[in-house]
Amino acid sequence: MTSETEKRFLELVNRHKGILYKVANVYCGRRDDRADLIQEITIQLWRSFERYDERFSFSTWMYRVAINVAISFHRGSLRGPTETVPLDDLERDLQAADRHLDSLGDDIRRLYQLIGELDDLNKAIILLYLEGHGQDDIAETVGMTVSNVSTRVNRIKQKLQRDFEA
Amino acid sequence: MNLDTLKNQWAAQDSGFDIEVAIRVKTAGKRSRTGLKWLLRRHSLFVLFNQAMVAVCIVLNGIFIGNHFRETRFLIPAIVLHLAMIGLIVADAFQHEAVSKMNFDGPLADVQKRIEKLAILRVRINQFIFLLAPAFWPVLLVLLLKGMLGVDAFAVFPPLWLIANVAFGLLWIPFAWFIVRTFGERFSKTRFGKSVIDDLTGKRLLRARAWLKELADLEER
Repeated sequence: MTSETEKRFLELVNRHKGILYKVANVYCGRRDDRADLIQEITIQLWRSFERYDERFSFSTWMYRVAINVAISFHRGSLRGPTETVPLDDLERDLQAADRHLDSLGDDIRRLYQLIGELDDLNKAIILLYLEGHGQDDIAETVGMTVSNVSTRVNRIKQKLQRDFEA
Repeated sequence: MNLDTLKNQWAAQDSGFDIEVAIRVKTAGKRSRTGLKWLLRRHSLFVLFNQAMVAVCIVLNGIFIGNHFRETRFLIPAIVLHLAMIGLIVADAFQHEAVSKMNFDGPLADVQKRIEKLAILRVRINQFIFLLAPAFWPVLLVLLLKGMLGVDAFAVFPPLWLIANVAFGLLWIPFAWFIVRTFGERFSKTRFGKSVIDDLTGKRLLRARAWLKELADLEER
């Protein structure tokens, strides 16, 4: 790919890099795996970028790739060999983001914990919902009907509410 | 807790994550020999190599069938082997096709279904090779001796020897199954060991089927 494409890619990913942190937090049961997953998602985003159609929202496209990679990573469907590239800098970035997260209050931490207990599909749906995606968008990203999205979102919200109050 | 009121806090996380994306992209080159896509590529190369080897064997076996068409005792094992090899090459071709079409920017249900079907096929092939390959040993021996050395195994070995080898191949299936079920845990301590044991015991298949059902439900409702 050309340097112009790389520049455009970096610009877009930088604008939405919070997605990487959120997806990694939701799908990695072990905090130590987050850097590996973020690295993997970034690489897959870069490799898929030539197929990205700029007429559509980049964040939706980024979520698609990120969630697909995260689920595959989490389920061990296509896990590769052990990491060989040092990820110290990324670990430091994650720790800084964790401190920022702590400063936002306990509710967000608790929310992460409760989302972490959902199954892989519901995690994806609630992530997109919290990110402000509409039902049509969620349906298209996940590959389900809009009415199914509506039902699922309500169920997940109720479950999270219940668990939070328990 | 109200999820809708938490959305603002959720969005506020973004400012705290200051990853240097450019560095991560640069390391992508170094990472090209690891990770998901690498695994897919390696898998693809392995499948191609496997296909080439099986194709050569099919041709050689085909020649053997042509040369021994009227000798039933050689024709039957050759046809059994031929069918098994054709089955393998078809499964490999299917895998290769699936791998070449793999990308992660499609709808979740669609991408995950394709990945899982590929995993199921891989598990099936592994099970087939591990459990059934020993049963093909006498067949292979008879054909290799005749094809490469011109020796008639049915004449050289006593019938009991051949029966014992066939019996070994068949008994291997329950024996291997028992060993894997009983001692599998011991080999499951590493990620690779666990993956192999889960494939052989069928745990991976069960997980894949459950996941596929979940994905199918997603699309139907």
